Amino acid sequence: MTEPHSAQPLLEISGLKTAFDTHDGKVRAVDGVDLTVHAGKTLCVVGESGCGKSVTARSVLRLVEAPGRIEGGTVTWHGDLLDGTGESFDVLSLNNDDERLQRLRGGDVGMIFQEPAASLLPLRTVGAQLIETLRIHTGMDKKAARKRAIELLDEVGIPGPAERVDAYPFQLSGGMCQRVMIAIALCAKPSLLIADEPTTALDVTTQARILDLIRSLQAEHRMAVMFITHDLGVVAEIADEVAVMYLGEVVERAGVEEIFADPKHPYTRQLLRSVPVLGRDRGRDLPTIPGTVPNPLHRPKGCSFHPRCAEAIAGRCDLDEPPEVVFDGGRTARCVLYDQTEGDRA
Amino acid sequence: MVRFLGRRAVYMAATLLAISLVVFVIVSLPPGDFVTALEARYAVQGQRLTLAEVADLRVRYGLDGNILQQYWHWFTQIVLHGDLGMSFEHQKPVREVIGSRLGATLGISVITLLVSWGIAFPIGVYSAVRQRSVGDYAVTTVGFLGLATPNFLIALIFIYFSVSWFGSVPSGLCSPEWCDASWNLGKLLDLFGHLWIPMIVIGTAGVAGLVRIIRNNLLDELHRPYVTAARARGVPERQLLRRYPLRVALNPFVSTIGWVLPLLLVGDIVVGQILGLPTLGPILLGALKSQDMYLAGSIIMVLSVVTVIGTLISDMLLGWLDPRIRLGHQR
Repeated sequence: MTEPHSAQPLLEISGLKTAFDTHDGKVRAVDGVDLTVHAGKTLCVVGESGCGKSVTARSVLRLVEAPGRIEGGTVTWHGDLLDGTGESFDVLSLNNDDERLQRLRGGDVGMIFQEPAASLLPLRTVGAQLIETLRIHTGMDKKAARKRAIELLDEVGIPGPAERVDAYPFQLSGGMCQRVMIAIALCAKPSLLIADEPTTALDVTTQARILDLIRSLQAEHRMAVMFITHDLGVVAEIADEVAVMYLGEVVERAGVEEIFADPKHPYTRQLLRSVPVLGRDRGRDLPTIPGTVPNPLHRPKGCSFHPRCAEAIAGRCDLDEPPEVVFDGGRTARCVLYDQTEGDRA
Repeated sequence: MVRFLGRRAVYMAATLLAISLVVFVIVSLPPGDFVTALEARYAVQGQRLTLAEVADLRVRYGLDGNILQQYWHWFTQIVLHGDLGMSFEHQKPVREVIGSRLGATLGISVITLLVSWGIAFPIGVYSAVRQRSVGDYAVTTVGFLGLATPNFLIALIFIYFSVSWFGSVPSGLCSPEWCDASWNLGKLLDLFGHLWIPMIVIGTAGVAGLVRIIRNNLLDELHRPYVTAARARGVPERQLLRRYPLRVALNPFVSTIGWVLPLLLVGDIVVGQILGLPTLGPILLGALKSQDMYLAGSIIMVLSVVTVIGTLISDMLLGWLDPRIRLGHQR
């Protein structure tokens, strides 16, 4: 196992709750999430669609839009403490016009999204949008920013950057647009990159290239990455630590090798079992997790996974919230199976 | 670009040719002609025209041929000599009749448009950015009232109150004592004293409509991924609004130039009639009533030309503003 805990915590999410007011009632998309991203490391947040991964990522930079609302918890940024420029602070308690929030967005934290083409304004050239961000965070003049923009486009592997800087987003492929987004995200040398399913909308070859790019840039800039994905193959490839989310909660946290070698939570186990393995699964039906993620409006009582769980204990899982169990080495699982047997009560 | 303009010019010419034919036929379609209408008017005054006089008038006005001949005469005169023909009713060249009113019409329309824009724009943006706030609901409610109330009704309400409070009807653009005076400060002040009424009357519905359009266009754009992405990279809110969603939301406006231009020229016909404004609208109405076909046909033709040119301008502007239209074919 890589040793995530030897690294300093850069971002600490604690008890985060984000809810959406809908006509049918309040949807608790994120319901008490605790996560830590360590400096220079990669944290993968995995889970099925609708489990709150993206909302968690967006809550960090307070990008959740109405009718969504961050209702509680803290998001502590330790970046300023680590580089000696200031104190740690809670992002959620900043005023909207706080200069630290502006600096965090695009400055200390870069972010890339699922739909690269839609994340760029079609009416302005990619260069204009990159230069704008550069100037906001570095105060460069127009000429210097343009020169730097071309360098950045080159760095993220866009061929002919001097011409492409004047291209419009719709003239570029999805993969190229994502490279532009990465260039924009990295232009102020952030210490954290939040990647919200950045390869989901891309074809497999492009996906692999973008992952390679993110990995090499991460090593080069020594930045941390918070990577949101539903793809366990991606997790195996890039993660140092993994957080598995289910219905707005983190059900298991562990190092990447621990997760794959010894998954604790039944949900994680079933997720892993439903990944096809070359050779093993020939001629067999791929195991699936029965049922679908329940509507968060009607969250099951007790452990929210119990209706789909093969190991659910009647009279226990359907009644009580499962405890968060902490194992040796700091990994956690939110499940009664380990209560008092293997781990200590959290 | 040259090829584009050339192709558009051919389309425009064909469109205008078709419009001119349709316009002329429709204007001449009602039974009778200008002489019949004249007879009727004389009859009301107790006078009668002899058959010889009627026939004489028909020859003088060129109404004795068939309609296609009349059309051909009118059309070639316009194309070859820029001559719009004579107005029977006004006994003047159509060009003069239109020209004398163009200034007032354009003046009122442009000022009204600018004022409506000036008012509607900030309200629409506010209403979209603060969607579902008390202010938004208030604006929307008032806006629907404004949209649903016909302009002429507002004009009538204005006249009612002005008569019961001030004892006079705010008609026209000048008081009798200033109308024939040459331009000076007094006349200008007098003009402004009159101008605000048509402005409010015509502007109300305009503002309400514009607010709805701006609000809805902007609401469509405010939650696009590119807005979130721009916010995530630290673009300050005001700059974000101006450079991203607003920029996209305004493009549809450019495409309205095609029909705003003719509206500017003719003004609001019914309101012009009620308030006695010296705009083209009432003239067009009068010409249609008295079957003054060259005048009516020419006004409609001028409007058509302006519409077609306006559409071309808006298409060119859109291409200039929106790279997706300009470069779309390169993809």
